[in-house]
Amino acid sequence: MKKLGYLIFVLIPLSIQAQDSTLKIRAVGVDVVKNVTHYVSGFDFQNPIIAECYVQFFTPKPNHYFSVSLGYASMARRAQNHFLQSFRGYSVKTTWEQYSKTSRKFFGYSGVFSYGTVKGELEIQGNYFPNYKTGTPYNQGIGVALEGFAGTSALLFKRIETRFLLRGGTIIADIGNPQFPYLTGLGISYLPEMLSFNVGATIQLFYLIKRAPKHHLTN
Amino acid sequence: MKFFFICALCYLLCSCGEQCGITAEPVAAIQFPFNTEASISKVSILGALQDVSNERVQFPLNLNADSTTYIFTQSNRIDTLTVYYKKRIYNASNTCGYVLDLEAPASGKTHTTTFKQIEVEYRSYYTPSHGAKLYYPEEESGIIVKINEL
Repeated sequence: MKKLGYLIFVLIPLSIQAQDSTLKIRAVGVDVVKNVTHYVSGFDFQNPIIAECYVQFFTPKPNHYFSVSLGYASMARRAQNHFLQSFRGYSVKTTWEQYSKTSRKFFGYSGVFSYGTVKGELEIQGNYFPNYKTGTPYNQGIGVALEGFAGTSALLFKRIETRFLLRGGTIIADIGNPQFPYLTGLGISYLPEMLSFNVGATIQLFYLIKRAPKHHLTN
Repeated sequence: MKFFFICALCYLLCSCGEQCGITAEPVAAIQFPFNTEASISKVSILGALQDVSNERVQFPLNLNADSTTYIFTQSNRIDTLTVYYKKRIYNASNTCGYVLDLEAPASGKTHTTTFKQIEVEYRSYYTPSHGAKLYYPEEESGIIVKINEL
């Protein structure tokens, strides 16, 4: 697991940086609605706080960008009606993406490294005796994910890039007991197993450091 | 994508029947000698918020303590039965995670009673997904008290 994380998060950025030692920032951004599917899913997360911010860099290749993002997520859920889990997680994501030369469509892939902690509490409702509450052992774990995405963007005031993304990813994670169905930096994990997957949609707002040219998208 | 949906379907099919330990107030099944239940007019439980029906065969267990005491009233006698247990939390499976279960106390003392002869059997409240349920019907999981002689 650690080797896989190393491959995704160290070698990929290094290989890109090696092409140009002076990375220039293209944009900074935030994820506005992390996982639209999150809100229409049946997982019923309580008090979700999800934040993800991006720094995007130019690369030597025109229309190719590299970005790094940091993520934070905090939420709770009731599992099996008697098990309350409180989750807190952090993530680092590296992304490579390519824009179309003729339109504002783009696609790319990301590697995600995620760390999470889960506190659990069992609560048994009593009919004949008072309710019984007890904590379960504290659990922490790591996860890695490989994500592919495609989307389109629209420019507002030449500086604000609104990005609509459809994305899907494969997850290897073991966080929580029972496994918490969320991986910070990626989203809902659809299988309560070490190997899982995720699909979703999201909206990102990027602020372009350099104003976008009027008619072409090259650097 | 099809692969993932097939995996999800297989997972759902495989995990059918798994019972994640104690999820509601647990009960002990108390079995009386043949035709003696009718003579019990009242059943009380020490510390309970209400009495239980004397027609029941499953009686609630107090999770806030390590024992539960039942008082059985008949027309000519009153008997008591205290069942001891130990709470245990363990990791049962990926689906259930940590489950709460009851097991025999480490001291080996399973009961105290005024009945002449009884047996206490401890079966897990957790039922795995693969087949175990076939051997133990749902009503007979958990603590079972067999009163052999009043």
